[in-house]
Amino acid sequence: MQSSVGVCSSSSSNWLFRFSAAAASLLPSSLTFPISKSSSSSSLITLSTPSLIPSPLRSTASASDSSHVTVMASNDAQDPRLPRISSAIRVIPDFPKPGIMFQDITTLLLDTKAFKDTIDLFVERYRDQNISVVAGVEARGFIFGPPIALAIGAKFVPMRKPNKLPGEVISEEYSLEYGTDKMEMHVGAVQAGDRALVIDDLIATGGTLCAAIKLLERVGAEVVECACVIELPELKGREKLTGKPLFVLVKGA
Amino acid sequence: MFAEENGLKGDPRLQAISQAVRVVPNFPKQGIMFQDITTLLLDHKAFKDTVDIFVDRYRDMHISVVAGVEARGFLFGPSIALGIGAKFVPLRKPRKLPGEVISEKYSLEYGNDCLELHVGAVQPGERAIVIDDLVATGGTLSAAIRLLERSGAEVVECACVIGVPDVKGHCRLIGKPLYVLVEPRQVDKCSRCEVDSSFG
Repeated sequence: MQSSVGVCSSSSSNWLFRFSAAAASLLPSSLTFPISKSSSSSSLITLSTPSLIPSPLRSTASASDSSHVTVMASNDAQDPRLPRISSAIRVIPDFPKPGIMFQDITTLLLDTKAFKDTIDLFVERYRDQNISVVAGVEARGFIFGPPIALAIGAKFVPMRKPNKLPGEVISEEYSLEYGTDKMEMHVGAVQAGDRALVIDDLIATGGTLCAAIKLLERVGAEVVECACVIELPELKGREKLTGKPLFVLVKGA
Repeated sequence: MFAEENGLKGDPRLQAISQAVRVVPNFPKQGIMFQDITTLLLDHKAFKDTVDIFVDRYRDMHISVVAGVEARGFLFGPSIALGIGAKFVPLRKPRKLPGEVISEKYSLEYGNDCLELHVGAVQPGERAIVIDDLVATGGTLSAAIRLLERSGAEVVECACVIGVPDVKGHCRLIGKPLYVLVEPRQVDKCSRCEVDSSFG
């Protein structure tokens, strides 16, 4: 199977993206609508080999390994819902800039079964974990977080860009490729002792999730896990989560 | 139309939903009493009731598209879509959607803004509802309706948690039925604020 390597044209970025020309994403016909570039649609999505959900959540860290890795109950069988979720995600080349293969979850939201399955996979994992807070990162975390929060009986807390939240906030700065941005959370939304999840559609470098973790910990919450639909493992965002576990459904290669 | 006038008169869920909204004076600028729904999201029962009321209303109306306006429409729309078996379609600010889009401009108090929808997300003949947290002038909802109609969809109704009482005027403005759960509050009787003074 032919593969080629694309390199982000920005000189300060060393991201590498491999894609397989033959692994065309198999969207159902109702989802095959035009993308902005005319390249043959190549899917970056490979399927993760996720587990059955252990109960309770277990995580181990090896003493010599600075990155905290969640070890799940061993199960090589893939959840049968994952292939459809994976193929429902559309990849858009060169967005927002040349060299970036953007993982577009809007097509997942158009597939009612795949979207429901996505939520169900998270709900099944967390419903018995006594989670009291689901924190979702603006804006795509707002799409996945609330349905999960509602199903597991937790509060939903939006983590927003500056100057959006109307009340008193606490802020956390985080790095971008060029410069910094800030994330905010309402004072009083989360209490000390709350058990929290952080939800976003995708983890890339991990900077955003790290900022969210810090905000929650500053008010005394316990961040139990970060959960994303998609991980881009080559960007090593998992290592930026200050030791918190990460759960994802699919990985972009 | 208000939920209370349309089958939910005296429904205790509506009062709890109203009281779960926090009023923040003078945000984003002097004179505006901002209706903060983040406190509603912290009240699991009230949040669930909000979604349930919309799901109960739309589940038998053969709605295939729930369109949510960025960003607070994203907080309610997906749960409603999942509850009624419809697609969720985000309507976004410019340059956020990665694929080919159609755009619709709308007026703000000062200047213009723009809403976008992915080409191909909505098919001709689909029945759609538009969701946002609050309707004020109706400008955003009007742009949303135009985008969906340009895609060939039929907009059945617009639905918001909060809306001003002059709904007849707004129905004329946006040209579609409008369904609203509660009115904006002027003073802060937010149920959460009474419990935790640091949140006020």
